[in-house]
Amino acid sequence: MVSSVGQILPELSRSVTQDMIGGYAAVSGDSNPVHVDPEFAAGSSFGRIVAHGMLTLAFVSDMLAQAFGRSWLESGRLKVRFRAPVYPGDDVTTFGQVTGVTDEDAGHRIRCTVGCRKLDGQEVVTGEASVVVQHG
Amino acid sequence: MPNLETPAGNELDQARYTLDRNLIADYLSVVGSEPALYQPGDLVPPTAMAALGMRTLLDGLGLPAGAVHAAQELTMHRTVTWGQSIVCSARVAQTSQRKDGRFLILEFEIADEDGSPILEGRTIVIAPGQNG
Repeated sequence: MVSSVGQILPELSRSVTQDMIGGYAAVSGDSNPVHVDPEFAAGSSFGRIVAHGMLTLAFVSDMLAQAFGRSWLESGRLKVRFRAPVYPGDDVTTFGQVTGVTDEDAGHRIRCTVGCRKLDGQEVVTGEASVVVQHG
Repeated sequence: MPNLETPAGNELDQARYTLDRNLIADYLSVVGSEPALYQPGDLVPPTAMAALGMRTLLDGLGLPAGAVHAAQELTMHRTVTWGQSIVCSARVAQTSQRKDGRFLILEFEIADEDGSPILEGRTIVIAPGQNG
């Protein structure tokens, strides 16, 4: 279990594809044309199709679920900004590091910096997360 | 039709979803989720429910094409298993006009049928092309 300051969370890597983005649009109901319409997206500020921010956020949440297990689902808090677009064909990797541990009645609240970056190091999501892990 | 003039404090229409096997299995397949917690019949990923909270916002507001998701907060309260039903409530928390579009702070809450909270979200969206 990740629980000490400075500890690195296990990374999680994903290859983002147009199929993945289209699938996410279908399952989430978010069919904003910047995600699914190449012609519209070409005329947008992004210049091409981009992935949903919530898709990239799911990768970060999965990293936290792997690191903290059920505690993440019961007490997790996540606050992020979407810094840069993720395009079809991008490979992204999540990152996280424990920055603090404080005692609460229910257990230890573990605070982390978290995010997701592309292979070239560009950060696409950055933020903070915390989770309560029970004493003992 | 986009309804970006919805004033702050306005509640959007509630939505109910059943977290059935097909919905969650499709979500896990698309996202490539691997945590053992989410194995078939077990727990629902919080981001799957958050996606439904976002859908409630999108359906309620009719955000225009090209709207950009700028930031997101999630707070989890408890787990939910496959097959459970959830109720999504959403509201406009704050709006303002900026040079690059309309700035919206939106909130959603997900609860069970008895009103017991499961997950909360706070979303910042920038919607283009709205002047004045």
